[in-house]
Amino acid sequence: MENEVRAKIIDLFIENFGVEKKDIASSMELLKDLNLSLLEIADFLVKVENTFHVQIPQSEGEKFLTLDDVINYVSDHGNFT
Amino acid sequence: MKRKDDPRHKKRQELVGLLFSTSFRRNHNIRGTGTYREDFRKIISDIKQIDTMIAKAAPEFPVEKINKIDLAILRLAVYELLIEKANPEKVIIDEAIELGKEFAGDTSPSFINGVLGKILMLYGKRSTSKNN
Repeated sequence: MENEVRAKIIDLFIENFGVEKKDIASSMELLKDLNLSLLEIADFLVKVENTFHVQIPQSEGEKFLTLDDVINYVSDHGNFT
Repeated sequence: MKRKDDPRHKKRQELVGLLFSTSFRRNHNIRGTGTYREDFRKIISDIKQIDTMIAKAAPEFPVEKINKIDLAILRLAVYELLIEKANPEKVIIDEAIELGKEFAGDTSPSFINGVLGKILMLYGKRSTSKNN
């Protein structure tokens, strides 16, 4: 399931920010490496919430540094039924 | 007719964006908030009080379940209505509804209107208002 989540989140990221797959790695930091603003991160996380029917509490969202962190959270908490 | 390039409308758009940015940041350490840094800081310093008022006005929607853009718009409007009190209530509510149309879903304007109406009912209308 984690692989499906990973692929879907990366696709969502690519679609949302118009980047190429070769230019991103899930280990990259959202702020520093992917150069996202907090507004862009919030917008992306709302799309993740809607796509996976998952709620990301503020206390969890603020811990997300990388795409891997988002993927791990969704893999553990997403509704896949 | 309200103009989209009205500086007060632009200011509200910026502040809603900043508030939305804090949706996943509890410590609200937003850098580079630019022109509206001070307004943003004031809203954040009263955020608990603002959220309590929103929760009382919309008990069927816990704050954490409210659409995050709707919540940002409501937080700004409640701040303007009950804390800042610098603009007429009608202007603030109309602006919040307008922001809902611009940024959020189809149901947002009516939801925002309903919650703000309830907030005014619960916390009382102001007797006087200063113009912007």
